[in-house]
Amino acid sequence: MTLPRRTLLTILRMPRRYQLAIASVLTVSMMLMNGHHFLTRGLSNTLANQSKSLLTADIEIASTRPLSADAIAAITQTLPAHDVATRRIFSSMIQTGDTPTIIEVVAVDNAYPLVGDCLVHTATGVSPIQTIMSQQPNPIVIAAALAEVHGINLGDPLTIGRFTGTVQGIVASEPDIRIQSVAYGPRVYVHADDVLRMGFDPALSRMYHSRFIRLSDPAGAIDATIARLQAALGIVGNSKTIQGSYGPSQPIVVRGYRDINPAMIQGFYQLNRFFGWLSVMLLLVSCLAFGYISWLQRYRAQASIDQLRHLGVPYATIQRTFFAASLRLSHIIVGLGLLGGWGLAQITGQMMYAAIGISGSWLMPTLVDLITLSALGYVTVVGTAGIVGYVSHHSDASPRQKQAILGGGMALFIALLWGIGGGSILEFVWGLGGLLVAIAVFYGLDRLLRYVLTRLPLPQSLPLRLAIIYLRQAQALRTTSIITLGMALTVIMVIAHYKASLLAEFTPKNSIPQLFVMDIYPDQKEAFMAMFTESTIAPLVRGRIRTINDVPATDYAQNAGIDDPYFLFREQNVSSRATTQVGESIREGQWFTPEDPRIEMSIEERFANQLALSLNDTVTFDMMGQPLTATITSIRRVDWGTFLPNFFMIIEPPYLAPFPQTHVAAIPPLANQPLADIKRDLARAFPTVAVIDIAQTSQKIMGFLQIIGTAVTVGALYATAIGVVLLLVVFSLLSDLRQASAMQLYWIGMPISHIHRMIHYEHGIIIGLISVTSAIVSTISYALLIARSPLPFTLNPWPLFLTPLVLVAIASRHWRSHQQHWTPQTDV
Amino acid sequence: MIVCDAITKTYKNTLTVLSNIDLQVGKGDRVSIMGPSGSGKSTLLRLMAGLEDPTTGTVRVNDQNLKSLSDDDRSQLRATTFGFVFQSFRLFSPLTARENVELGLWLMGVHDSKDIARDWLDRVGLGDREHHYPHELSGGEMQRVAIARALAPNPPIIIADEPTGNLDHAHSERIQRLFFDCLDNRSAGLIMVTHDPKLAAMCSTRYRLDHGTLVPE
Repeated sequence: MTLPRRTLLTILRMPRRYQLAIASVLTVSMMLMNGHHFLTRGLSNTLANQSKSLLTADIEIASTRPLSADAIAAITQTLPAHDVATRRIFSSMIQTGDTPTIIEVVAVDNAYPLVGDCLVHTATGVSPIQTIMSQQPNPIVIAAALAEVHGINLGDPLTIGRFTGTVQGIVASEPDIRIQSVAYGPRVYVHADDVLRMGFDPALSRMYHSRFIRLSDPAGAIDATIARLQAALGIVGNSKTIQGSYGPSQPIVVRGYRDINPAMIQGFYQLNRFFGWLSVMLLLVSCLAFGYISWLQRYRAQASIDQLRHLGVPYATIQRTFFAASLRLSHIIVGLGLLGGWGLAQITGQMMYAAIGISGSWLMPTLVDLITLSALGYVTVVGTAGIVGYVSHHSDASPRQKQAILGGGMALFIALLWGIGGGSILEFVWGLGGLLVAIAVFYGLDRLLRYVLTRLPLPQSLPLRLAIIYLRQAQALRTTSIITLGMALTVIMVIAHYKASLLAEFTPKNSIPQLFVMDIYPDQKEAFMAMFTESTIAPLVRGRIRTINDVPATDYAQNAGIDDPYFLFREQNVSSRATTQVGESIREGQWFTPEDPRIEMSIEERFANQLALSLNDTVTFDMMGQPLTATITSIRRVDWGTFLPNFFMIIEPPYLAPFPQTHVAAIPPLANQPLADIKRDLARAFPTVAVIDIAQTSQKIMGFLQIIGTAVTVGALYATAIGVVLLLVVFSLLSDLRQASAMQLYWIGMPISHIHRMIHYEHGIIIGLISVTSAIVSTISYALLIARSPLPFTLNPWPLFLTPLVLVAIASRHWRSHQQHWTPQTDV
Repeated sequence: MIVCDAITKTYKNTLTVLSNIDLQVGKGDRVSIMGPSGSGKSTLLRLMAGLEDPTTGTVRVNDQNLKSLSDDDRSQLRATTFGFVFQSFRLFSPLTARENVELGLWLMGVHDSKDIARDWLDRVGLGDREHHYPHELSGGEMQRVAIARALAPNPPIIIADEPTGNLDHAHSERIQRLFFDCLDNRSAGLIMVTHDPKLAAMCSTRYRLDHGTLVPE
């Protein structure tokens, strides 16, 4: 016997409100997943198209010190025919009237930029910056912000250090403003030859040196050329990371225009990873929810299915009807998911283009992307429904077979997700392993609950007694509720912890210094200390780690499996002092003791973890060409929020004294001296120092934190919205299932208040246990996730307390809203 | 004792289901009510159990007007005064046979109820099925558990709504015998709604509901 498909759908489909809820949850999850994918792919394509003009050349040779004559000779020998431009970037101050301003000095030669345009407004119109640098005496070009805020005009004199030039242009457009900047303040362009006239010592002052190369025949030769240059310059390893004021990862880095893409989105990398992770988890939770709700629907429809089979409808027809229903749902979810994801990607993409400072067009997905993501949508919905169908109706299958089907389906799903996300096999294994462990924990909780409930003496209170009996018996319902809700809550709590860590890391403390002064030369130290008696001052020697325990750094990085070798290879700021300072505490070992014959060194806790360093390891530095070997005798914790001159590595005095060094100082707020006056005095007395305005910096940090915080909050809201919809559907279904028995209890004399209490006990026990377990699982998961990140492990306690209350409130509210459906009419 | 005094039940002001019904059921009375489907038999039982209020007239149980009682008081009254046997058994699926029988006792505040429940399961011939769940019992066995649940608290009044309606002829006769055997030597009153003339004949007082009016047979 056959019935029209429409009739069968009417009999078997889930109520419309559940369809709507689950379609919303899945669509929103798919939107996030698709949006993330479109954005990542689109952004990479846009950057690839623009990267050559952003680098301003085919190749950049970047260094933290001026290239030696030998290095330049090696470059020339390797590339006999090429165009060259040079640039240095460093921080300084200018004085306009009474207002001192921290600036970023960009010293360029006549050829800069080799690729792309740096255009300047001059008295006669818009010109390339090369025209000004090559044709005018003492040329200075300023950023538009300086002209607008400080009223500096063309022709005005401007003093930087000991050099005074004339403003001959205002920047109209710069090719590299975002990717190659230490971002201390607005830019001021000067001629490279004038740097020495300013009084800056290129060997001591922190500068970011670049030598740009444009190849005469760049087609297809970039990678080979970079390899030849690296060989000629004796560069070991191929780390091309460059980070702000720390500069290149190695003393000299050679990179092509294609290498800058990862660097450009460095700031967004963690965020991108976070949203990638979040979208996978949310889709997974939504999928679990969908599976759970489909299963409950099958459970509810069991009587109808039996009747249909009695009427002669083949089981295959019933299965096909469920399949058709899930396919119809898939069309909606895939369609809206793609459309919404594309919209989400456009909005986020335009925001990111604005933040990076590049012009980007519409992000257009490729046909392959559309096909892959559509396939994911269909596999998600139809696959889940198929697994549920199999598990629900193959009563002859053993639990192991059912578990194998479930596990296999989940593994396939995660493999597809990671495949689309471009993750590694290792990440897939970790992800799947973590997920299975989390599910196993919740399953274990369920087993434990059942064990306890069956052995618990039944209490006198009838509502509690019946609640316990119900919980004891409703095995499948209880198990799936615990796993699904537990996973959803775990995701929400992990997000909350992530935000707490971000806030703990970046929120500055109240009593922070107001200025941070760097590059104080040895001959300026005494005068500086006399002028700023309340400042905290520390010596700073720039060096690189050569060996650890006599193993060369490159080999050590490989042997120790260091995740981010940048921290090992980059230029290190090493300091020296006899005592610990405010905000520091020794975690392992002990502070310097004169009795110890070794040169002692103290290292910061997280830095030690990152570099896999421990007590008694010996570290050999190259300090401006001279070696220094020290032994780690203490590992300490530093409160970076104090903004004092903290360091990763401190060497026991006086062993750092012989090395060329500058000093860094923190100036606290001074009672009778406004900040502007201090800056003015600094600019006059010490024109070559670099100054960081802590307030401005912390504003920048807080601004960045705000972006991340907003993104994380959006993620949390996303997860919470999905969780709440899921909860409503679950409670609604549970309430429906409980209505019949509630009605019977009422008939035989149980007061309504007791029935409510019974339901609340049932919900309360389940929610309490899920919440507590989610709190534990989320804490452990987060500890594992954060262990490989520089962020501190900080827990947000609020969700731990609030979540159970909110869940109980939702459950209670929902149950009461269903009361009218089962309470008999007493008044007609 | 239940006293229905001139009760009328009208739905949506247009559909009169019961009209001017007078009925008394006291200790030891055995009352049956027959009538075609839709004649208002179940509505009458719901009114007597305090699950609904009559549109006019009063229902008094143990001299208390049900309309004047709160919902919780009515629930209390149902738990202590009535034992229910339904056509569809209405057992609780998460509870074992013994727990289903105990439920009636729990609702009366009797917590040490295991032995009483076991005793009643023995009486209805299900002593060896105390740990079985409803889905593990046949229809006849489920109805026997339902009878045990209704009678175990020793209520003054039993309300039975088509107690054999879902059973085949053989089971039906067995349940009838069991039901009335269990009621023997007990002072409980019985109000039973049924389509089965044989079952009705086992009661001393018989009525027929005809177009909302109660007619003695």
